[in-house]
Amino acid sequence: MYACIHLTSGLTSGGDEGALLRCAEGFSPAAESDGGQSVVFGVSGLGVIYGEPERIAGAVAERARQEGLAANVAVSWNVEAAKLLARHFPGVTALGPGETEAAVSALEVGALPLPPAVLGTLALWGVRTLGEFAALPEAGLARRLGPETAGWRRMARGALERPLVGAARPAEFRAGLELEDPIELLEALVFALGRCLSEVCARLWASGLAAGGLDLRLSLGDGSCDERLVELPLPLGSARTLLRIVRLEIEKRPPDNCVRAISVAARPAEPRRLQRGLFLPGAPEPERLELTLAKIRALVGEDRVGVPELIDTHHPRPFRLVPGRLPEVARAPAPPGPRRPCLLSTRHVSPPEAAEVATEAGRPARVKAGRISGKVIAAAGPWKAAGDWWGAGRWEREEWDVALAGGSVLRIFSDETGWHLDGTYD
Amino acid sequence: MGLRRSARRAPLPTGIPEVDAVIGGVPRGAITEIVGREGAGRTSVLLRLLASATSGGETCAYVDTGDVFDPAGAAASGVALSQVVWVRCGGEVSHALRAADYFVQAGGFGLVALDLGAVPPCRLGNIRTPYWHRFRLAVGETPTVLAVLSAEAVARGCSRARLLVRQKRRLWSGEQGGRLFRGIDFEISALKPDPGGAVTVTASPHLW
Repeated sequence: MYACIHLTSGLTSGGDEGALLRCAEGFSPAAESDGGQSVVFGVSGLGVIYGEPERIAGAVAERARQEGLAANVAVSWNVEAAKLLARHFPGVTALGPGETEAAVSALEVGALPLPPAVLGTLALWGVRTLGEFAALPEAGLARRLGPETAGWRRMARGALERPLVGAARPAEFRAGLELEDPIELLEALVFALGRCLSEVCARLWASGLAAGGLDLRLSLGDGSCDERLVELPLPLGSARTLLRIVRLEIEKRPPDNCVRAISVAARPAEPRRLQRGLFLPGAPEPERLELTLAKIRALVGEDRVGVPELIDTHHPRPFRLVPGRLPEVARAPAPPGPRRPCLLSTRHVSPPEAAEVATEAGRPARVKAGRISGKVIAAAGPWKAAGDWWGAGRWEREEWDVALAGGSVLRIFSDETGWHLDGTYD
Repeated sequence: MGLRRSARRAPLPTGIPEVDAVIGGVPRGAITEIVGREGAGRTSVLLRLLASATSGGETCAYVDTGDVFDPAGAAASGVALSQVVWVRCGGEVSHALRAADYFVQAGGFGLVALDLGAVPPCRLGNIRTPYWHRFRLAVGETPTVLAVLSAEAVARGCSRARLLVRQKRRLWSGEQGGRLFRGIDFEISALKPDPGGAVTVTASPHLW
């Protein structure tokens, strides 16, 4: 047995876009919507609560009225019959199988979702009502108008049986708490957040999804609202891991006032599906890695943890740190390549440190920069370098490699602001 | 319940064939110290070790106490940067130690490089010994190599291998006015577990 709610005059002032589905879901979790004008749902088990189909239809109509919907309501034995009755019979209708066929037989054939060509053919044949259409022989109809005609003919008799096609609606993964007493302690807040996150994760898990990010909203005692966006580089489904990440976020920037209400919403994402090879080297568990990086970010700062990346530029420091990126894991070992010569590495001074450089005949003779100082015993340069002259980031400098008596070899440079220590060879 | 047998794992090659021929690589599941004065060539050794780990497909971490890491030079040395997490600690030794601790506790890393090279020797002694015991226990029974670069040995009895890097000579070419820095010859000697013979390696700067 199915019920259909069909809007007669669009949405009223009290209604909204989701009112129809909300109304249907008040009776059954499975509902079929046809784009906002009507909704059909199963009411088979409601006889235990409401009794006769007429009473069920009455309860549905009352609920629709409470939602602010001006609608016809029909209850019948199959989906299409319920839809047909709700569309064309005002008020509340509840009919059994035989009654439905009799009731709809007087309706025009245009009440069925027939293609215009078929409607034109039926008009030529002089078939105007559903009763006349249902009386035509099924085999002859199928031969002349196509095999799908059999379904339309059964629909015209109110006898087409088909399952509900569940309405695809955007799922909401949100949980919240209104607190009687405001929370002032971090531990209590984390406890309450854990409950919300468990609820959200259970819903995500039931839908086969994971959290791609979290929207955290804390209503504070002074009436203000603390909203935070917790970005997750990879989808996570573990409430425990999410809670630890949220805790780090809150510890980093605690709310200014006590918390009166909590709301947590997860942005759903497809969970990771990773099949590791048997012969790949071990790698950090993604959840643990994300949690580890979150802890380190809280310790040293958001922009100081990430994966290094080279930039296509001639700048002396052609790299950057990409803060939110996770390192590649479980990568196959590279095939052995040609033997690389040992390169002498540089240790940068970040940012380049101002240096005092004494020159003799235009060449550095003595260098002092921070704790490094000494007489220059050998120097190579100047190496002139410039770049980005076409933009605001224009730079130009003269570089020197200088060896100090103590054993260090430094890279120093001079620009328009003076001498600087760029780094040391090590 | 019987005694546990420690997992024997192949050591991680240093990436410098002359050194690997002598010591066979650095032990996994242990702390390895790379010790030397600034300019000795210790960073070159560490980056070769990092390159060796990333070329094996392993995920690595570089805990950069003094913000000295040069990704361009590392890439030129063969390091796959996409497999490296870089943490810049801005000179805070305590942050560096905690970050390294988080990495070794997380597990799964092939190499965790803790660069204390920017810390003056007088401050290295302030690092409390329990840190090193904790590191030793955390990496034990795992394939992780915790490589510590510093001016002086800091991990004391907690490290299983220690490489001493010393500069032998600086290489220059050309005469005054047309000189070119060609690199350094440095000497690597294993102090732990078995003191071994020294190996001399030539390292040249990367020319862009």
